[in-house]
Amino acid sequence: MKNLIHFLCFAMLSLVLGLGSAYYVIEHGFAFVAPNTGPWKTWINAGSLTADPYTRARIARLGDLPVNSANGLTFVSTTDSLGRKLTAECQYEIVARPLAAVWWSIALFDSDGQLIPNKADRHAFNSQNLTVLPDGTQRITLGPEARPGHWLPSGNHHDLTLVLRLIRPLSIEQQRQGLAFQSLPAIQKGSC
Amino acid sequence: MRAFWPWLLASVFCAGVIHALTVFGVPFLATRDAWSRLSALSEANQLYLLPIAAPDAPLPFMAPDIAYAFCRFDLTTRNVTLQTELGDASWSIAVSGRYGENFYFMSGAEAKRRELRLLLVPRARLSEETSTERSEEGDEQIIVISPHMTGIVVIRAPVRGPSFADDTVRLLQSAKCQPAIEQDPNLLAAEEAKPEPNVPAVIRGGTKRPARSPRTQVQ
Repeated sequence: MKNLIHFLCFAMLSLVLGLGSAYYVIEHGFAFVAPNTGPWKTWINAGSLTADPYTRARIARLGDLPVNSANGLTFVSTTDSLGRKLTAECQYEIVARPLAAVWWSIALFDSDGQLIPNKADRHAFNSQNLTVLPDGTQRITLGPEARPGHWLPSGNHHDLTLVLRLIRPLSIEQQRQGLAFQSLPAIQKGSC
Repeated sequence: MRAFWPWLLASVFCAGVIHALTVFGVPFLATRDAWSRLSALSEANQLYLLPIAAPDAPLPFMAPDIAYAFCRFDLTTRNVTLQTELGDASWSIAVSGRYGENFYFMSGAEAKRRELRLLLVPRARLSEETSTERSEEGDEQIIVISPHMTGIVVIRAPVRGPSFADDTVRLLQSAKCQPAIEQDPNLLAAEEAKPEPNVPAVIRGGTKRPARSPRTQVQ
């Protein structure tokens, strides 16, 4: 009887630890495969022929079509720069400086990766339609109520996900030196 | 309690095995990966345009300011050609296996020409068959060796703004993905007898329809 209890505990523990840790790593990554830069996370090996198993599993689970990091970088954020969860009830300001890429954009999604319907039919801003302010920054306001300037409507009752895409960013060598990540946009929380 | 230590160590070891099996197995067991989702909407060796900034997009996190065209290629019986124009430096074409690994990428910034013609050839057939493909473009054709028999070609065309969407879609519509034409007289005759060219179809709300006019492509 004692051995049976030990075996059941062993089986339960193995399954919970094995499946739980796999789920956690595929969902959230860890520094080696999905480094964070401020609030932004990128699966650096996505789309690569030599992608690690965690990245391959992540791509398959997500249903994404990635571009390898030499040709495009995708950063995802679900928090502001201080690590607080992005929610549709609050206002945020995204402060960017022109990024080193042929083209880049910041788009807003719900937690399932779908666009958030809004009357303005506005879901993203990119390097070609964002104006540079006199201080050299490009600013996007994110929130449920209309704001002057570049406003991204966040709707209501959604957990938010911001996606920053860079097409043709810096070289791999420069990326490894961290140059591509130096000036990623900050996400500052405003009123709720 | 002491008798449980071996069980605890064994469970940690087994958890490691389960962890590894799960991580390695997910790509092969996933039923909602990009290939599966696009297979439900498309046929092989045909180019499809996805609507720009559509609600309920077939793939998650699709950029709302990029026009996407994709072709699921199948090289089992024939090589496949892909012809497209690269509208500007930010356009790109990526060829990847069904698990998303890119084995060819070209952007407008590095292409030496505006028009691109790719011939996708499986590695196994490379030596004997590429010389028999009919190509009016001659040396302009780029041979892409595919390590897999199936995969996905994705053309990404960033849209400067809503007023540029129609032009971008129109240009994407001129792209073609189709089986390569061999120098077999019977096949050539069959190809020439086809009444309809290989026109990209447009996917809307989970169904596929033939393309009409570019203006109707964007929702």
